[in-house]
Amino acid sequence: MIRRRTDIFAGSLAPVLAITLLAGSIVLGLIFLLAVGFGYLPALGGQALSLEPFRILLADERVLSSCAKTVFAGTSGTLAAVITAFALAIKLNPTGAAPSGWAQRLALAILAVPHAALALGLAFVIAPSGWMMRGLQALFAAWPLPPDWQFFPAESGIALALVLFLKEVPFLFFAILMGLHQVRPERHLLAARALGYADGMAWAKLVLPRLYPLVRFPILAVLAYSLSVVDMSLILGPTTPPTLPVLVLKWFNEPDLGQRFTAAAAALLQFGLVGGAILIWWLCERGVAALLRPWLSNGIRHMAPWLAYYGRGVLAAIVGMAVVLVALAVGALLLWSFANTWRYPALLPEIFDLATWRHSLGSLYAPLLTSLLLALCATFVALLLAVACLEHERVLRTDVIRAGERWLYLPLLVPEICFLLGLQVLLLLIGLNGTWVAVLWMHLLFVFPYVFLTLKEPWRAFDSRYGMVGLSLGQTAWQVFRRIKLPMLRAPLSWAAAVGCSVSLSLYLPTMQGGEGRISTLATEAVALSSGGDRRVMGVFGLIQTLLVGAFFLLALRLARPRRWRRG
Amino acid sequence: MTGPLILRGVSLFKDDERLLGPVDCRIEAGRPVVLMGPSGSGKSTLLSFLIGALPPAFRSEGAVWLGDIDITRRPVQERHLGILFQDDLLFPHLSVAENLSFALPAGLSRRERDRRIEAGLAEAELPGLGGRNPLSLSGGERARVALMRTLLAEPLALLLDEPFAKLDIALRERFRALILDRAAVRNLPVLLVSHDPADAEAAGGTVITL
Amino acid sequence: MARQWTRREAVGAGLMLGLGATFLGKPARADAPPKDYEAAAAAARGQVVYFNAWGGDQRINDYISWVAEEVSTRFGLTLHHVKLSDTAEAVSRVLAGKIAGQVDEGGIDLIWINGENFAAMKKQDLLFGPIIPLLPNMKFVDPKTKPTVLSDFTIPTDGYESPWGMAQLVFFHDSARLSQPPRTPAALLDFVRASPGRFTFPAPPDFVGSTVLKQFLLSLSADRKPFDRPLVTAQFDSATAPLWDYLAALTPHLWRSGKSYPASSTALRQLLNDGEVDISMAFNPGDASSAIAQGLLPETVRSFVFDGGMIGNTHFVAVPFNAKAKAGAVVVADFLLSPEAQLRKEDPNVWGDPTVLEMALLPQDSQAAFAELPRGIATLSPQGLGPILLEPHPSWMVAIEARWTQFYGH
Repeated sequence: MIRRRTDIFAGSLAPVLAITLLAGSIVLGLIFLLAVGFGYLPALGGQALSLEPFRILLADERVLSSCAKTVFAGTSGTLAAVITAFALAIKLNPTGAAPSGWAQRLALAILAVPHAALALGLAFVIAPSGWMMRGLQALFAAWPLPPDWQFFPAESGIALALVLFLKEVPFLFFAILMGLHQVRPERHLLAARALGYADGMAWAKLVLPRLYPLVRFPILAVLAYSLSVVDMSLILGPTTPPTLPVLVLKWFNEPDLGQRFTAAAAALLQFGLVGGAILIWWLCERGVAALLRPWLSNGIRHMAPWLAYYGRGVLAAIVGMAVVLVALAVGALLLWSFANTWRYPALLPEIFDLATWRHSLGSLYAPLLTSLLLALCATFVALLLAVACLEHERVLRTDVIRAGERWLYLPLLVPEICFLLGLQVLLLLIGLNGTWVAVLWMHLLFVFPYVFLTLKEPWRAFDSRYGMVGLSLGQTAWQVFRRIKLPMLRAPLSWAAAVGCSVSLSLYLPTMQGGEGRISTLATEAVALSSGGDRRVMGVFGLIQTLLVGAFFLLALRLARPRRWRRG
Repeated sequence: MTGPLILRGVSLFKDDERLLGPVDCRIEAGRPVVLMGPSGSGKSTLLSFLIGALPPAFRSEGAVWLGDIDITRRPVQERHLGILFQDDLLFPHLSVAENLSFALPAGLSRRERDRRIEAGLAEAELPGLGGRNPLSLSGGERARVALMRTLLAEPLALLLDEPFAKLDIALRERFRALILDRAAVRNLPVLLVSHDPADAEAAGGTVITL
Repeated sequence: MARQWTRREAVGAGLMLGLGATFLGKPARADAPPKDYEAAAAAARGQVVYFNAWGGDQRINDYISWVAEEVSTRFGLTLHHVKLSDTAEAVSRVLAGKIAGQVDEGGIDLIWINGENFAAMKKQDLLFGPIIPLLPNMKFVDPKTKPTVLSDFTIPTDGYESPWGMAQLVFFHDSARLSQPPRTPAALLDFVRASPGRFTFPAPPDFVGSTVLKQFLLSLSADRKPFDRPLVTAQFDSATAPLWDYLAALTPHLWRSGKSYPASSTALRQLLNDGEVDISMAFNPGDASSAIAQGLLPETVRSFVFDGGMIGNTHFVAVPFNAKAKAGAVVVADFLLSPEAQLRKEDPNVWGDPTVLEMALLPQDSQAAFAELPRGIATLSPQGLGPILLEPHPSWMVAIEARWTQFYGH
């Protein structure tokens, strides 16, 4: 009886809809890519399946070293970010219980900076004609002209790894805090300390093994992203050859349309590269877990003194360096946006003016409005869908979502270039191309997984007895949902909304593909203008995007804040 | 080496208001001390203070000695006080044997570890359950594993924070007897916090009422 | 012809996506493509034209905004600038439209295009036309003096694209640091030997980077005849040997020892502005003046060319086969060719892009207006720019890019 009365979402097809919409889109896109990659595309004269595109691809000298550089930059950036994020969590908030302090605020701020803007700012900081070198020149006056060497070589992928590291540490840090919130390790940590364990060791042996599975997915998403990133690689990545995703894009943009077959084969290689990297990461994870299993209970209570001693110093140095670099990069963007000219070796712009701001703001009004509207719509739909899925699962106790959950995350693991082309054709076939609906759909592909990820654990952890109490007090199912459940889950809901909006605001390729370029947003304007390479314009756009995303995060922080009670 | 656990003028404050104390007592091995008091009287907070994990909202006065050593300022992990909480706090990612092994000192040979774990399981009347997932055990079994885990770490005194509160009456008596028996065998000073007069009676030692 | 094709391909694509042909076979709209300019102008009223053009330069974007205002008041049509970061994005979308069997529902009405992108679209029947006969303002264009207006990278345009502006490869140097720029490939080699690390070019196959390779080849070759024709593989090694010998000598002395290259010509311009190199290059003679006016280059930057001429070409606009507003697109293309629009475009304070019009064919007042245009501070006079060298046939470019990649690109 009670079940019938609480089933406001039970009859909905939400889970089926979500999985079909998301996974279905991507699988269709991939099937299209497979066909083209194996030479089938009648519009371009490919009438039969063949291995020819792969033969051409593998005969290209660039492919092998491109793959090597991609893997190096992507995995080393990810690995460094994972280690640092865990170390930071141990140091700053081992139980996940501390309220949001300066570290969380700083991490949020870095999260809000768009990838390309951070890369451009960092490029200016570390270039041989950049800020660091200008500082040295101001001190030693030994380089009247910028020298021909680099602090972080671009060609080897180190510069790309660095910027990936800087950008992903905050993301992983938050994922870890969310995980810690579920593990709730305080009491266990206390028990371990009473057994004589030092803090760090207790964390490593008790918290890490339970925390890791909860953050595995975000880590894999970072890995996949790092191996597929285009915009940052164009700014800070190698050029001879570029990383594989850039190479794939170049092939897709080859004027000779016959090269589209090779491009599709290259995209399949990219898909394989990411898949392979995920597989290898997972195997390594398994191996490390098996190797360390005896270590967990071997009774060693303290880290090696040198590790505890130097570990702290190294972490402080790395985090300090990261914070300084990010601050410099963002500061450089800020200054550039107000600069007229700013040449080597000047430490500050020689001429300030407001021309870039004035000019950009005039043309930004419409895209800004579109971006906001799109972000709010996509996030609202995603929230609705996610809540419907989770309620459906709770009421019917079905495993549709649990079983299908991994499919929901597909858009975060599969490189977007691998399915967007196919989706473009799909949109054309059903006549949705260039419409708002199409753009919304494309955005949902990326917004929904993040929203669902943020929402699912708090939702599942909600004590259903509160609902029972409400029903027994004579409230309807809808009243219980609206007056008890939603207010109690206000914090995760606001966070999910902020995350959803920030994702939507950052999307370039999906917006272009869905809208055929006819729906212009901040992101599409920023990318189009950045192809002109003007740091001042990028500074303005980067800052506006940062402020916008930052505003969403701040709003979420406020909304998520627990109610203040009067004392006494 | 081991000696009595001594509380000297221990008081706890919250927002500058005295919550408890001053408490003075000397807990000898074989003569358990029972701390009685209604909920909210600060019993558990006192135990937090003793093991060195007083929440930041509280302030303390007085000193804790173990034999002739002042341990008031030592960090938790260097006090060598064993504590049993209301919850068993077994680590869910480790098996029963691994939970016990976690408490053993480092540097033992594999064979010696296994021997001690087996002995511990036998002592807790749980032979052969080493490979089990702690979540698959009954409440009483888990409480006994938690006790053995605490004892295997070779503590110098034993603090009990109502470890029987969640067990039903029959189990409670059996477990209480097991704890007091094992502590007596090891010659450990025992401080028991409770609001159950039956505990005080069974312990048979000094009773301090808050 | 296009109609037959698309239906068959559409079915193929539909099957491929597992959707069947149910979504296809939409009846073609009756809106017939314009027969002449008058018909186009009549049909264009009220149409919305999506102009897909590279959006990386604020000044060009501003110029297109001006065009949008003008065509709105003059012809009552709405022009939207779809800002691209790469023209190939638009080509891909037209291609996707063809795969999906679109006839006249396409989202792109006008594309800014030239060279290989045009060659590819023309070859795959992705363009509507010929549009040249529909454009009255073509009467001001003279293919005899500017042969590239009808021949794009040696490919005859056959009227499928309308000329918009002239382009020529030009080098820039900062006269404050480098007073005597190298005017021959040999002098450039001497320069990099004397100042290692102070010269580089965008990484081929970037458009400008590839053009520099072709420029070296043409400047170093006594006989340029073979390059006008499609590549015969047997000729490649002997014809391009001077280029590879030259690059072998040049590369070790390039910026970052030739191990890394800037990603684009705008990135290279930034390097010149930053003082990391002494020379940059662009495919627009007015680029340096425009950049100086925007504060993107020091005021001491000047232009120079190789003796014997630099590669030049024309950039165009074209209408995709599936454009929805073909009439409106034709009207806009014609307006872009008008003396008024061309005059404004050539003004270095607006864009500084050289006109495709022939002065002798213009009315007196227009001629005078062009003559009065200021020349940018760093822009060379037509005499200073020297002769225009024609692009080699595209097949040469593909082969040269491949060989360069093999030697230096990985």
